Amino acid sequence: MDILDKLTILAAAAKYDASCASSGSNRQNTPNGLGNASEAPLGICHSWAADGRCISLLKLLFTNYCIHDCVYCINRRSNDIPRAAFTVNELVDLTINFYRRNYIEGLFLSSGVIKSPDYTMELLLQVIKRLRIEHNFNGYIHVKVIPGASRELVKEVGCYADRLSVNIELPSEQGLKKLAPDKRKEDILVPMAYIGNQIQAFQDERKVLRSAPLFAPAGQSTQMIVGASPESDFQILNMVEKLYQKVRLRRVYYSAYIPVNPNNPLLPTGITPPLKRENRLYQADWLLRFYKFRADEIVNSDHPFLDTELDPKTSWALRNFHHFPMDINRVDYEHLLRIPGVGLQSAQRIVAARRFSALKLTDLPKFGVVLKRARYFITCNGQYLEKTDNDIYIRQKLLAESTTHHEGSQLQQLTLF
Amino acid sequence: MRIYIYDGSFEGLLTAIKQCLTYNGEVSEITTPERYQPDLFSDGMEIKTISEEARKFYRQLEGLSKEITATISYAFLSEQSGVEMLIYEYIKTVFRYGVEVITNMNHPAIYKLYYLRRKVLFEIGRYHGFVRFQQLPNGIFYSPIEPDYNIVQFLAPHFSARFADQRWMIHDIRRGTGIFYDLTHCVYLSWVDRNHPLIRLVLEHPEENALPANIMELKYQRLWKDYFKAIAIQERHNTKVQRQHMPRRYWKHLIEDVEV
Repeated sequence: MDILDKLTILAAAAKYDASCASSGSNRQNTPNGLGNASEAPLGICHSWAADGRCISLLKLLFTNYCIHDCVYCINRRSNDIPRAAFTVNELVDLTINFYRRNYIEGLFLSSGVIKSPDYTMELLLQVIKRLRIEHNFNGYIHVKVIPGASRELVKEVGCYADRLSVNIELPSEQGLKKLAPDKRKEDILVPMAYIGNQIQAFQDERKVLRSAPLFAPAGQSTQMIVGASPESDFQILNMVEKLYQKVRLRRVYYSAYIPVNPNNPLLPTGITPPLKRENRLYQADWLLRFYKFRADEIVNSDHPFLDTELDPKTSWALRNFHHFPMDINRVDYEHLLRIPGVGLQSAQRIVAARRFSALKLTDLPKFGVVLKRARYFITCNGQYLEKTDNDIYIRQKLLAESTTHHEGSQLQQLTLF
Repeated sequence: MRIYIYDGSFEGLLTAIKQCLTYNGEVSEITTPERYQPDLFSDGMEIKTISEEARKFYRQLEGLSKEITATISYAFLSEQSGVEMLIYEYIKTVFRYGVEVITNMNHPAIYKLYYLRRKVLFEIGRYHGFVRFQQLPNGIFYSPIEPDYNIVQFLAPHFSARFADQRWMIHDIRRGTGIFYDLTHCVYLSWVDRNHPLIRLVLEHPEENALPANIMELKYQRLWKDYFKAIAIQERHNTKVQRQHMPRRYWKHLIEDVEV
């Protein structure tokens, strides 16, 4: 088969993986080497595809042949689709030549499972070893860990990759049993915990010895499909919070379920991908990671689903009006972060600027504060922009504004870096 | 009132600002001879660039904070009209209130320059992604760009660190400037000197259609175009967001076909 055909098939087969980050690695270029994953702490996007998602890494499957029969997956064994497999050489050549032309930040390598998890993992390992050792490649490499692969292999892969990820696939064990009958929960969680411990161990070693080897310096991430099984956002975010705290994941990706295998009785039918819900989950995820929110503040058993109409922070603020209004000149940084329309940067700028003089409400747009949302929640020296505690009124106002602003773009996706 | 006229270079601007700071009257404008328009109330004063003085002034500012020199350098390369006065106001503010003032986003002179710097930095970041090299038959990786701001020299550290084992050139075709990396150093080039040996290396292939008749190069371009199409999920079609991140003016030099 022609390399062009392989690329088309195996890129199309890999596109449902949401992860695109090329950030967080500290792998520097070596003398006479190619690539530098450390230059871009925030990652670099090289292009944007027609679905508005960024292209940072060359995202490919080694093969889309698979022994598993996961109900939601396009590459399941029982699907009648064109199949292909790269050779190690072909993949290495593509990566190097794309990288040299600055098309990509590196490689994102995943695969269908052929023969056995170990056999497949071994193939992926060959590719990245070849890149690192023979080609002195120091670009970013993200490898998907094949569930069920042996520890030794996972450890070796971690020594060459920048980021590892094990897909959690579905947000509950029941979902997994029903939709991915060949995958066991232990095959996912055990390697995840193992990788987490290894990363920690290698980091500790590096603190003592600067030249200690790297192990997945950009950490570990995971992905789950949203909307294929009935879990609530409350369940999802609670689980995610634990993953961040206990396994210290860098990122969790949410992927709106796209019905790639129609007519399966186990799956919801006739739905459009829940993109808005996915968007709100990402926003909630940001609140967990950067805004010091707890999962049970964002959703709880009374409100198990995120509000699709309003962003999670505004929705939290409306339910907790007793915290507001906040005085821009007085409340500390942590509290500023809780105000809808105030982001990390604007909060920092406010804190820096008010050391010089008291701020006025009209100063706020300079700091990047979105007054459209913040106006109901703030005061300045006793002044209000709009004094109300009527949450229904605020909701209506915000909705009216958001429809005139983003007409027809209800499906807007969040920028991920 | 006085209008200061400098030669358009960064050193010239620093020389002029240094003199503005000691002038007791009102500085109404800092401009270049090409843009200079005499007005009735101001006298024009031509400033001769003094390199040593400019460098000394730069080091003095750097000594206060590297943030200051970074901000004025990036802002200067935005080439926006009136940026000279903004830089002057910025430096004046720093001298008046002390270096801490640069974190005060509430001060008009500070935040105007800060946002200008941000825009320039943002475009530099964009070009870390948008540069597309094509390998010429002589082996050099060549990329034409047309940035809004004059940023080509700021691309040098990033690309030298990552493409240390290949010879490459990034060419701002609108401004006729570029950088060339020869496996050890990165040099700045101006197309004014068409006989420069490095420029001849690329000029042999006219820059408008630098496309080489190079089968391997075309093969990878074809593969990349194909990958670009295959990776999009049709059910999530969203060209609006795509265009937000990748405005139309950048498409010309990308290899991938954005429109399809």
